[in-house]
Formats: sequence, C-alpha cells, structure tokens
Amino acid sequence: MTPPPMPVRALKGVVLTVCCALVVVPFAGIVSTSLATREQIVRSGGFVIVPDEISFAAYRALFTGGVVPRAVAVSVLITLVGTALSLTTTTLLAYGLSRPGSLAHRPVLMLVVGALLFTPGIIPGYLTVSTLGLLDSYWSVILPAAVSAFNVVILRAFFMDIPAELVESARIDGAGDGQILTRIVLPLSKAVLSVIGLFYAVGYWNAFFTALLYLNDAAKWPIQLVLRTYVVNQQQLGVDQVGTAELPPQEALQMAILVVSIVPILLVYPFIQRHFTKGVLVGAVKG
Amino acid sequence: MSYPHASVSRRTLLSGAAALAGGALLAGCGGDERPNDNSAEANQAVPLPAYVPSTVVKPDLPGSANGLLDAFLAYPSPPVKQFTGPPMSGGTVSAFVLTGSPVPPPKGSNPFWQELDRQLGVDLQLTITPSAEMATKFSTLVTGDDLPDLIVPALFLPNGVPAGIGNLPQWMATKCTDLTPHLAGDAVKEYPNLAAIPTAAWRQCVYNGGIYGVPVPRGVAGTLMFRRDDLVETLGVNPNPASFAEFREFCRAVTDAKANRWAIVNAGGLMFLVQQMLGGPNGWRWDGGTLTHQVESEEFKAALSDTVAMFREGVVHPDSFATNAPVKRWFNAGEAVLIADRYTAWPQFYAENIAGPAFRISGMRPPKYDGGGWAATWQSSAGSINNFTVFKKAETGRIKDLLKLCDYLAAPFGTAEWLFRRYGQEGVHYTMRNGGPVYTQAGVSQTALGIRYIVDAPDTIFIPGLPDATRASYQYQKDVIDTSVPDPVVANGLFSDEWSRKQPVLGQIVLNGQNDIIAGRQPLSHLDEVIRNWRSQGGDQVRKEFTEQLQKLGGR
Repeated sequence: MTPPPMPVRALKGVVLTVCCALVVVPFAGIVSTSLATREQIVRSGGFVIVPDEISFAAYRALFTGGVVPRAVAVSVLITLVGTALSLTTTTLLAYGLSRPGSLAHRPVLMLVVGALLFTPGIIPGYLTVSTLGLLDSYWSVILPAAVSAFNVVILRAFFMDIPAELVESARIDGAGDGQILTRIVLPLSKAVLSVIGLFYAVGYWNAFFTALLYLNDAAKWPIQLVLRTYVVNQQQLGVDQVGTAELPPQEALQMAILVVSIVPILLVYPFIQRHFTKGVLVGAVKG
Repeated sequence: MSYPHASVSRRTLLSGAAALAGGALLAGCGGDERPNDNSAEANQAVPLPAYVPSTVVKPDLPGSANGLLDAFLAYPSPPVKQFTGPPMSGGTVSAFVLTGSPVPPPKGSNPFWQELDRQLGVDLQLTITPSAEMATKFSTLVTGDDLPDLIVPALFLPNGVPAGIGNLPQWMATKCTDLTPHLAGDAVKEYPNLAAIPTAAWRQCVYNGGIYGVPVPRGVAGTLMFRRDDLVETLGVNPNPASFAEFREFCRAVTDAKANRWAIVNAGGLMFLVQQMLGGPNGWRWDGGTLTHQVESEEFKAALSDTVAMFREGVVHPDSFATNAPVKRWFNAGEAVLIADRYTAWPQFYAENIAGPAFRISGMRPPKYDGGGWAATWQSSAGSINNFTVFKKAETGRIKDLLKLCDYLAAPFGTAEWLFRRYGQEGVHYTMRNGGPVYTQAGVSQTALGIRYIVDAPDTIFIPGLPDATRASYQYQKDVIDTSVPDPVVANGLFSDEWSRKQPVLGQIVLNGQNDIIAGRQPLSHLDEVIRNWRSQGGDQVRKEFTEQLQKLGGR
C-alpha cells in the first residue's frame, strides 16, 4: 500500500494535533493554574496556561487541613471495596443468567432488564437506605450501586459467547459450575472484566451524589464531595472568609483539588487500556 | 453509564422530590393541635420580639433605625467577655447547616470545633451541607423525618434565592416549634443577644401566625455598583455621572479594548443600574391595586433597550456571557471599572486585589435618568436576613436550652465570643494586624463550620485592617439607605407557595430572554414573548397569591 500523498498526511497531522490540543490544553491549564501565583491568576482572568513562577502553596494548604488526605483515603476504600464487590456479584449473576435452565432464569432476567429501564428516584432510594439503617455508613455509597444491570447484560452476552464445547468438555471431566466459572470462563473473560471493573471503579470514584444524600457526617465524605465544596460554592467564599490575603488564591486551590481527584483514576487507565477496545466491542455487537 | 443517579438530571429528580415531600407533609398535617394558618393577617398579628439594641460596645460610626449598619474601624481591644460560663451543661445538640466554604476538618482533628464544644458546654453535631446542594439534602431530610434539633430550611440560600421546596409553612407547623411564647414581646429579654436583633429580621421568621425561627440578620443595603476609584482617577474621568447620558459617556471614556479594559464586567450590572436610574420596581411594584413584576414594567423595557445599545458600543467585557465568568477577577485585575455585587463583597475585593496599596473602591450611586439628583437604590431581595433556623418540636426546657445556645451564637461584634466564633483563637486561627483579625491557614479551614448560619448578631461594616475602606463602605450605605426602596413582597413578609417553588425557573426565563436580547440573538420585541412565558409558567399564579395577601393587608 502506498502512503497517502503529502498534503493529506499534513492535514491528518493538523487535525490530530488540534484534537490532542483540545484534550491536553485544559488539563495543562488545570495543573498550571494550581501551581500559579495569585498575581498571575488575577492577571490572566482565572486560568493560567503556563505559570511564570511555580508555587506549591495550594497543595500545601490542601494537605495540611487533614480533610483532603482523609477524603482521598475514603474514596480509595470505597472504590476498592465497591469494585471488588461489584465484580463478584455481577460475575455470579451474569454467569447464572448465561447458563440455560438455571433457577428462576426468566424472572431474574426480567428483573435485571427492568432495573435497566427504571431507575429509582431520590426519595425512594433514600427511604430504602434509611430503613436498612445504612445512613452515615460507607455501605450506603457502595450497596445501592453494587450491581449495574447494564454491566450484567454485557457480561452475560460475553459468557454466552464462550463456545459451549469448552464448558461441556469440562463438565465431562467432572468440573462443577464453580470450577467451570473460575477455571474456564473467567480466564477467558479478562478483557471484559477489566472494562467492567473500570466502569465500576470510575463510578465509585466519582460518586458524590449518593454520598451527599446518605453521609451526614462530613468526616466520611469522599474526595468528590469535598471537591464540590471547593469548586461549586465559589461565589460565597468572600462572605465567609474575610481577610484571607495571606492564603493561596481560590482558583489555585480549586485546580489543585481537581488534580488530586483526577490523578489516581488517571493512573489506572494505562494498565487497562490494552483490554479496552476488545472489551467495549463486546457490548457493541452483542446484548 | 448505569451508575445510579449519574444519568438522571438532578433537576428532574428534584422536582419529583419536592412534590413527594410536599405530599408527605400535607398528609402529616391532619390532627395537629392547631390549624395551620399561614395567611397574611395571621402573620401580621404576631407579636414580634422586643428590640433592645446591644450596648456592649459603641460603634465607631453609628448605624440607624432605617437599616444603616454600625461600622467599626478596628476590633475593640480588649474584646468584651460576655459569658462567664457555657450556655448549656452537657448533652448533644444536632444541627443541619449550610456552608459556602470548603468542608472543615472533622471534629477529631479540628481544635476549633473541640474548643467550641467546650465554650458551648455541649457536643455539637453538625450536618454540613454545601449551599449548592441545600435543596436536595433538605428534601431528603424532610422525607426521612429524622430531624436534628436545629434546621436551616432551604427556603433562602445566601443569595436570597428560594430553593424550590413546596409547602414549607405546613411542614414547619407539623414538625417545628412555634417559638412565639419564648420570644414574643419582652420574653426575648431572657436572651439579650437575640433581643438585639432588629425587628425587620424577626418579621421574616414569621409563618403560620407564629415566630418559627431565629434569623441570621443582614443589612438591607443589598447589591451596589462597585467602582475602581483608583483607575477612574488615573484616567481622569468624572467618577459621578449625573444622568444616564453622562453615565454612558463615562462608560465610553473608561473603555479601551486595546488596553484590555472595559467599563463593566457584565450587562446584568448595566440592567441593574439603569433600571434604578429609571425608578424601576425592585422585584415587584404594588400601586395599591395591581401587582406588577419588574420584567413587565416599562422601566425594564427601557433599561433593556439602553443596555442593548451600550453593549453594542462595546463597553461590556466581551467574555461576560461565558458560564461562571470570573467577573471578580476582571474587576480586581482592572479589566473592568464597575461590578455589581453585594455589600458583603467589600472586604474580599481588598483581600484579593493585586494593585497594591493604590487599590481603592467605592460605591457608584445611580443618578436619576434625566439628571437632577440621585435615584433611589434597591434594597436586598432577601430583605433583612440571610436565612433563618427552625427548631425541631421538643419540650419547653429543651427549647429554652437551645435558645440559650443561640443567645451565645448571637453574641455581638466587639465581644470575645464573636471573635472566637468567627475567627477562632488568637495565634492559632488568626493574628491581629492593624486592628483587624487575619486568618491563618488553620483558621480558614477549621472555622468554616457553618454555625454562623444558625443565628447571628446584627451585621456590621468592618473591613479588617483597613479603616479607610470601612469608612467608604459606611459612607456609601449612609448616603443611599434612607431613600432605598424595598421589594414590597419581601418587606411585607409575604409567602407564596408557587413563588417559593418556581422562582428559580421564572428567574431563568427572564435572564435567558434578557441575555438573548442583549447579545443580539433576538430583537427587543422578543421581550413580549418572554413576559408571556413568564406569566404562563407561574408568574400569573404567583401574582394572584401575593395580590390576595396584599389586599388583605390594606394595600400598603
């Protein structure tokens, strides 16, 4: 195959560069603003592209209060426990639903599809969590989100696609369903599991709304909710914090906490990326 | 994605939540000992707490009964110690409060909170809610029915915007304490600091024919047009235009796009000022028979027409229609000479300025449109309060204890209690500089508990460490306060259920229409359609509810 002519390649290059810039510049701006000085931030209207002078004051302020490190720890905990739990339950449910003739197959499947179509409102959700006595417990953020019908459907489709001969031969060799799942099905499903795991992890990491509703004690708040109090309430800061000239500028603080909340989940992506295309395609053509 | 709540619009859910909560509230009203009557007559008849102004400290610049706030050039030194012991003796008090600040460290790692507990003599449990999420959190709180002792209802956010909860008075009648027996008339004198809260603030706590809360008072001065005096002086322009024509000239003269400088940060500020020049209604106009909303008035249309013309001339900052435009930064950076903001923003502008000691701001008074003196300014759309706090139903002894706690939390400016409550402990949370406290990093994060939204002392004008700025702020308020006009609906303490729910939506209709016209996406005639929408989507219903009450009040 001959390479396309020069102008086409140049054009592609330009388009790709612009696309990359659209993604990279806001990120760079966030990082730069978090490191900039008050004077530069005010001069540049609140958003710095390249800082003249690097200042870590905003990060120091964030990490001395004790609130942010704690919130990051809470988020990590919720994400790890939640993702593990979600993957386990989703796998078991999807495996059961992918075997023909499993117990209450149709009603359970209908239930899952129903959950896909109808989401509960705030108040019913709150009342359920409150009745179960989960208010102010980390479980209130994990359990309501533990099983996602969407992910169950994707995973079930993938499991059903595994050649029946493999399962049958295992059964002839004397393997039970537990062994078939752990020895045959799961090793073949690494791609889809990592994608679903990532979906869950991102969901738990970004959860602020359930935390807002169910966690009254601010000490238990995850990073995203703490982040929100930094970013959304901005117009009120002036009223509450009179005479704070010595402190890092508000924009730097906001951007710094944004960086803190983005980085951990960003670090996970490279490890899962190789599975990503394959895993996502499963959902695209099946289901 | 399938994560719960992530894909559903919050607003949709919210309206459902409010409706549900409302239904539940109404159902709970039957069988109450007293019928719930939130009529204007019942509320007008409520005996309000006696007003006994505090004599603890003498202000450097005195306030007035019309709403001019006391001003202080420096924090009294040494501060007066008002309480000899804690107001309560043990136990737990829970409160639902809002905050506009980053969330504070939890009690275990928050020495300020621990000391506050010691000072109050109680274990203070706070459910701190970011102000942007107040409405959502409040509706779940109401639904769950597991109420704390003290609750800031999401009726007023700090900017005076009702948050969209229906049937609030009915809910208060069933679940909250009528404080009238404890506070009406001379009864309030048992709590001297509550007695020092001005009557106008108490009036806004009246519902269902009773006093249902304690107020967080604020000055009625509201929003003003801040002007960069230092810049105007350098430019050699007359800072006080005497008519609309001169104001327009002023804006042209200070604008220099090449120098990255415009007259004003946004067109909304122009609308605000020009309507005042024209004598337009503040919110609503009641002429004794008919109630007209601002957007329906002739003045609004005229102001809009002028604003469109001025926007075309390029005197408005070109990026002002961007979401969350950093308008305060533009003002501080000198990219704009004028900005409309609340009087409480005064200290912030000084705190964040980068112009150095030359930085100087003051308030620009609107002249009458055709000249011949000053026009009347508008009072705050939230009246005399920021918000109020209701008490969960409890036995009398408990209520008295909670009122004692509130009495402590309302200790006036100049006391050691005020300084501690607001700034914490000297050396740890703040340092004194030039007569004013300056937060340390620990102070900023630890003191942001939101307790100032439970109850507060009367507001004062005090820009820490900058007596000249304090003088300027006081002088502006003194100049405008006597002629300033209130929103008749707020001043008469009226409640409309439709208004409390629909105000955000109706406000958005007006704002979108106004912006479309100013930005040139729609002609001025589009305003008629905006008004039609506003009326049909709730405006007429609100008018009906308010008009009935105003007529019964005798059409003041």
